Amino acid sequence: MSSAKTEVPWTEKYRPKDIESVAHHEAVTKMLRNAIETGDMPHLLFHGTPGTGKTSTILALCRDLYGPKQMKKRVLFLNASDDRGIDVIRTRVKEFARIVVTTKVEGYPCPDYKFVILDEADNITPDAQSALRRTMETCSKNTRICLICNYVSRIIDPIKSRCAKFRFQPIPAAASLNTLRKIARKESLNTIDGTLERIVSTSGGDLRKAITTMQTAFTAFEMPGPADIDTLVGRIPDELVGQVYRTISSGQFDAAKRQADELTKLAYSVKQLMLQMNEVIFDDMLLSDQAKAAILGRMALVDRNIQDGALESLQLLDLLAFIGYSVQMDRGRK
Amino acid sequence: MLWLDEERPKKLKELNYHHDVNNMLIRLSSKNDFPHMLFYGPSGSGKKTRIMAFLHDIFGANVEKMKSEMKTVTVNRNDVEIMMISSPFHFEFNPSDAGVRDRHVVQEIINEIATNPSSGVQTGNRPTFKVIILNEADKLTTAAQQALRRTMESCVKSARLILVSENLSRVIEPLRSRCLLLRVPSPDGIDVATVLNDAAMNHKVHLAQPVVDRLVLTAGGNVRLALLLLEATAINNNLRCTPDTLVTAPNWVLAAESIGVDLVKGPHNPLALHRLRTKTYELLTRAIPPERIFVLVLDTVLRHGSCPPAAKGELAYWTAFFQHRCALGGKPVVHLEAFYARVMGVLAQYGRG
Ligand SMILES: Nc1ncnc2c1ncn2[C@@H]1O[C@H](COP(=O)(O)OP(=O)(O)OP(=O)(O)O)[C@@H](O)[C@H]1O
Ligand SMILES: [Mg+2]
Repeated sequence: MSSAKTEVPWTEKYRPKDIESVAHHEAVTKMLRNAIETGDMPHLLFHGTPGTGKTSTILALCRDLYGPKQMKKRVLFLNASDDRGIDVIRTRVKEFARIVVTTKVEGYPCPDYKFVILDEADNITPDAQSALRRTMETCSKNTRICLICNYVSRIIDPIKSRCAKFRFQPIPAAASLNTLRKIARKESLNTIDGTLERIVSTSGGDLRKAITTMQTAFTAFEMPGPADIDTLVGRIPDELVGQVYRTISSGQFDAAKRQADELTKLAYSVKQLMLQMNEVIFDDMLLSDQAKAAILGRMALVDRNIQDGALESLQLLDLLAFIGYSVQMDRGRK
Repeated sequence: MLWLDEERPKKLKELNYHHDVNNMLIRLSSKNDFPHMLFYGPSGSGKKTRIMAFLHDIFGANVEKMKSEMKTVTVNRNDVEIMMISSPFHFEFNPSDAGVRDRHVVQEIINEIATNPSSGVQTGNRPTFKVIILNEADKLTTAAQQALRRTMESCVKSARLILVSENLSRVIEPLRSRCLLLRVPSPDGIDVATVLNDAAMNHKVHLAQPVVDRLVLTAGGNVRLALLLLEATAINNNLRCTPDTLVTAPNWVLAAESIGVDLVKGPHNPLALHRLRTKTYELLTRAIPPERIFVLVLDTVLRHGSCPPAAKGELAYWTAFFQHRCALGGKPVVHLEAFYARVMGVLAQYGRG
């Protein structure tokens, strides 16, 4: 890069422009295409993990419906950085829904309804949601609502039942790889075998993360290989995970404590460790199914606690001590 | 100026450990473009030093021309004051200073920075975006973190965010998805020792090896603490640290450790429990995070010679259990005392057996 101009990151540059280019979610895109053709659009509820295309899909849909210019008049887009308390839902959304727009644009279907998009809806209070529900009833003639969230459990039932629900699953490896390859071609990247595959396998179905990792990797390394990707994404070296497992299997508490302290200093995320430890435990042929089940149960508990905001280092110590103890007891039984 | 600040390496090339991360930052800095980033790792491991050196290499020495000012943001007719540090190229603040109003404050500030055309002196091929450093990102309320999602996507042309956090898991998943994650581990003992020896040389301190060992042990991978302790120890001993010069841990650490010692020694009864309350309150009023108290008390109990080995697993379990409860809310002192009581119970049980 020679000039002072800054490029937009690839995640934005390659954000799907129309619903045809959304990767993987065929069921959603098919239904939306159908709804555009028949003019019979339901209220929508998109939910799923980050970076799977929820925001992209709704933006693409609106562009397909109204064209980039009319979109601003026809779509009210509210996300978590906007105020979305009960008053806003009651007044702003209602006001917007009341205005009738009939302008047509050549080349776009421009149906009579408008869209209210409540993106990142996980934090909208149940009260505000109730208010929204009434708006949905009174304004459904000329307004469609689209709610987007990570956890569908955050949305109240009466709203759920009024929407066509779509779960955006983590993007499978093949589809992610396909998207990365397309970008690689457009950016004329020199890729070596296994690199893109590793980016995909470490991204856990989060396409945004995969694209960011790819862009950083190709900025930071001349020709990144799989090992460079591991460094970049903070994957724990497999030898280290194996060594931790072997050491704590002695069942000695002090061994577990030393390993926990060491891992805490290394700052590896406990969730990442559990992901990799899981594989090691699964592959341990000497360990009984009961012991494996017990350890998985504890991992689930630790995962929940960390999600709640518990301190990782304490949860890690408890987990390692438990695994060590379980393995030791299990070996003793035979 | 504290030695700590004098010793802070200014450029990426001067950094003396974690070469993996450093090299990657060096390569990124030469390209003048980078994504939003999240630096995570234990306290005092060198996150901030790396960030500033990274910015230095990209924007030049002017990033060090920092001024700090109180910024007032009006939220629902209430004024919230926040301390803001800025250079011509970057802004930095602790959103948690805004308390529960952090969402509005963060939005307000980012919008202001992102919409104002950059005022920095643009020379050569420096990036045109501004950098916003959010310290203690893990202390942001969920609402504030949620609010950053779309903002980070839409402001990306004009601003890059650098989040700093001790705990990766406390940053919500959608934000982690929007950042390049950079892990900054605690340096090991040898690396800390090198930093200490260098600092001692620069300040003409005679530093005997046993004192280095003691400093390293007390600081436990926290370079900031290690340098603070070095400065205090050196000044107390007229810059001559002989093999028998002692290193004292910070007061609050000693106080938390003494709770652990009391728990092991007993007696294990309600009166003894009640006596710990004063110490606990003292720590809490000095704004020591409860989680640090849990960790220090547990470590002290586990290390103590009279702690029955068979009890250790259970002690670790209950510490994790009550710290989790504490994190979920309520008054920390309640959870800490429940934890002490349980430790007493476990110790009494194993002590007798
Ligand atoms: N299905 C997909 N097809 C093509 N690109 C995708 C897809 N999913 C994600 N991406 C890429 O990731 C970026 C972010 O996607 P998007 O904003 O749609 O995620 P999201 O599901 O709304 O995530 P979040 O829950 O974090 O808001 C897009 O700009 C695009 O580059
Ligand atoms: Mg989104």
